[in-house]
Amino acid sequence: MTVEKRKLDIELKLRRTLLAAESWLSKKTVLSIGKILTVTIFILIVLGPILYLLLQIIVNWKEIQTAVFNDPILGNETFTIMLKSIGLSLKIAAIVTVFDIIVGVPIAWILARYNFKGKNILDTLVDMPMAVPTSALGFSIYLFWGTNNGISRLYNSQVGFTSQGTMLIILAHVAFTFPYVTRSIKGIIMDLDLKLEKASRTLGAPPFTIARMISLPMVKEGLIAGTILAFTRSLGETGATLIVSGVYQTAPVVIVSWMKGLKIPTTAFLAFILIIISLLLLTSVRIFARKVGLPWNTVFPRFERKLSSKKVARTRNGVSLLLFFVFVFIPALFVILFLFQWWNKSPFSGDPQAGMIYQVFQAPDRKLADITQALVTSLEIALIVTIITIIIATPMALLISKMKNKKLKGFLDTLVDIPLVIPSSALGFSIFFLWGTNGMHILSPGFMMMIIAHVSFTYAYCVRPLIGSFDAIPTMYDEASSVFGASKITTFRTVTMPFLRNGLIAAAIMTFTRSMSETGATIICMGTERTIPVLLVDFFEASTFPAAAFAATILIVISFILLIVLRSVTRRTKNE
Amino acid sequence: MSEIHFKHVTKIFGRKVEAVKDLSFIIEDGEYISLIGPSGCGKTTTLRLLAGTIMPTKGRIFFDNTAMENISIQDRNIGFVFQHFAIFPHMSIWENVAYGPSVRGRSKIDIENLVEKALKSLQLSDKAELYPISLSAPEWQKTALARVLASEARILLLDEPLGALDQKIREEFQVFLRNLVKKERLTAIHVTHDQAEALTISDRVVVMNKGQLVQIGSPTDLLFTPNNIFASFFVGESDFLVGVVVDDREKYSEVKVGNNIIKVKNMGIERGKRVVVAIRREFFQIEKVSVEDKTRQDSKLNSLPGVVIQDQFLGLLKRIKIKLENQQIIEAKIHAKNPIHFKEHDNVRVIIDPDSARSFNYPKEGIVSALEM
Repeated sequence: MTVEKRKLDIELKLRRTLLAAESWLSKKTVLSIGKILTVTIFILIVLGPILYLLLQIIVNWKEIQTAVFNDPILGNETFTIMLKSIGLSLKIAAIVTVFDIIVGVPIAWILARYNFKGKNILDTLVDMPMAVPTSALGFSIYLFWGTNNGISRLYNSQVGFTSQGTMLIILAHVAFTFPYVTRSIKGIIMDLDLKLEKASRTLGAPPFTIARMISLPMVKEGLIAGTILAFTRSLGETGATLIVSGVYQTAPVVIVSWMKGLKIPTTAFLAFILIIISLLLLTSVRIFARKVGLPWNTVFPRFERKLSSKKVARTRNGVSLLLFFVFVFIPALFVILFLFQWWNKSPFSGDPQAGMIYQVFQAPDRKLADITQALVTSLEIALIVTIITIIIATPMALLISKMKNKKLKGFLDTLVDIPLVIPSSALGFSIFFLWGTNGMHILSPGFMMMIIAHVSFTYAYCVRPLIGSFDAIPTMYDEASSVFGASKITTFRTVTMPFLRNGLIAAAIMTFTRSMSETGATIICMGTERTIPVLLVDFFEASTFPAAAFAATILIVISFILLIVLRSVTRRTKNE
Repeated sequence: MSEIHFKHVTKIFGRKVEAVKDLSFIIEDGEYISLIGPSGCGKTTTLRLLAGTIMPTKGRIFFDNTAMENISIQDRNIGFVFQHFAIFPHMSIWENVAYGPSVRGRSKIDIENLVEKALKSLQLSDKAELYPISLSAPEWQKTALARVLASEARILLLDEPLGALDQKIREEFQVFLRNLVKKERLTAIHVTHDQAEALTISDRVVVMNKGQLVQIGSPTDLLFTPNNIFASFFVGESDFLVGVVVDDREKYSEVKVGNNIIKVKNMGIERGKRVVVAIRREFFQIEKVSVEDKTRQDSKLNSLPGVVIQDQFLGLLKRIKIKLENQQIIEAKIHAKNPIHFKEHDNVRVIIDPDSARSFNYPKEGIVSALEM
């Protein structure tokens, strides 16, 4: 009896202390300090490096000008390379985006509107290239199209279908960017009011015309958002591009290679230009996306009726799926097949030393130890980054979601999106620049700097969905809680958090996956330690393909598992 | 004691939107008050001002002589029933009801007693372990009320609390709610768009329009003696006859409407002034007249001649539309079982009960803008 009573007493004391602490934290001044802290951390980790880079470019303009335009030996050769690489990057991104729309929109339509066996599997497969590290994806695509192991076997050729270069870069980029288009419009198509389509049906419009004039204009904003993401991802991608580019260097690849040669001033300038281009794209889309109409009001009744026939629809669906499988799915997973081909010997010469078993487990350079070490580093970084990012991103998401000043809210909202569109190698470089010897001189490249770099590019991936989760919680629950006497922080703990649980898990997995798979920023900030996507690039460059295939397969398996967990969590959220 | 006093309260949203304008009234302890008015009239804003989710721009609110401006929501000790109940979906019914005392730091034993008592008085004891998802709307409603009781609030704010219930259950709940509030001696403020509900449930009703108080009074006051045009228009249904006071005696005045003179209750309007006479549609009596009778006005009957232009069946009532001599169209609501059958083109006389006719000064801005919502 007395034990029982003492327990109750302790419980009461603890609860009262907690409530008192929470009510102290809910004080206006304390909350304001919290808000300021949240924004400060955001500026320090995400915006700071970019601003610092900008500042340094202006302050050290003379030095940069000499290095870029008037080098005593090279003249303006550096600038020429720079322009060429940016031109190539933009050209590739544009072509890739067009393909993304051609492949991505019909697949989104199929996934949203048709019911068939295996739809769920197709849905997962479409998302997969977003989760798989691009270096693994690029390697697999290179093996499929660019070597004599893949497609060229079908017609018994000794060389690949295409060599490293623009073509291969485009093939690789389409594979991992088209899901951004599909994903950003699939949900919107599913939520469209079918009544509108039925109404236009009764007025005599054929399905194709309805899709074009009624449904597509409504998904316009989603489509633009997806397109811009696809474009910027293509523009800024490093991991896959390093593998498939050969001598044709895109801008992010140039950043990495200059950085390796420690050409700091020129790298700074190129990173700066890439950042400016991405920011211009982001803001112009934010400003103009709503104003751009789809000015296609002419109807071609006969032609469109033909396009709407069942036969054409079936062909179109078939072709989109075929494109998906031939250009995305098979090349993306080809590396696994390759791994089995080269398991213990070369399929061509039969040489066991060219096989995976020898290269990974038996060769004197102890690749297995490297792989294990890199895997552990990758997992450690991903875990730490996820924890830090969740802790600093949640208050930011709450702040943005609850903000009443519409203008300020829109401004913060745009700021948060910045790391999404900036090439990660440029972002990584600016972090190196701010924190390293050229800036505050706190860190040198290595584990800590990698963590800061990863936090800064995963931040947006974490904040964005959390804002959505906060917005989805009806305000009446907050109000009810405070009416019954709970302070703001108590309300957050007892009411908001339970609603947020699945959203938090989903954001954490997204962050973890992104951190696991990033290459560009990691290469710049890494020092001597390797993460597994970077190790894969190293193996590739050392031409030990079977070992690279082994590392790629591990990466693919891990990301696949994460993706499936993520999907089950988000589906549960929807059902609730 | 929980007396609520509004003193010249004004709430402005943004820069211009005056949601509530110079609102002053007193709610007595233990009173059941309803706020009604067209949408956007400021009734929900008034409730939110009471709850403390928003603060007045001008003026003060007192609970028992304590000014509320520096007292935050969680310290006001009010109970709030939301339109959609806001039952926390991740807590069991028991946990929902225990929420108030537990976040206020009450001891476990106190919490248990309070929750058991609240659940018992709402007949929810057997549902305590269930989660909201397995309950019905009326049970959510009860949970919301139990949660208020357990929080020991003395003031109960209800925002369209019955809006999400079916008509039948709603009527049962009106009685239930009133009895509960009276039994627990709470002061209740109830916002609704349903006049019948307000008239059934409350001790007094506050009618609001455009952020201002139109009339506050008992249900019978509002229904039978509205004290301005808007109140008589908004509560129930009225028709308005425009005329001039031609004579005023002690109890009744005579008003000239068109070419006819009718006798109405004297409400202190001087001779020669234009008046608006408001009459409830249910209070008109109609009689058929023959063609010879048509021109002869029987002053004893206090009536106006007219012609039936439409006869409509409404269920328990019939609506008869009549065009008066001055071309104005009025509607009379009579019992559906009325033995006389009125049809189009029938000549009728509309008999007016002088005691239930209310007359007001003709508004400067005209009738239409006086009735604008």
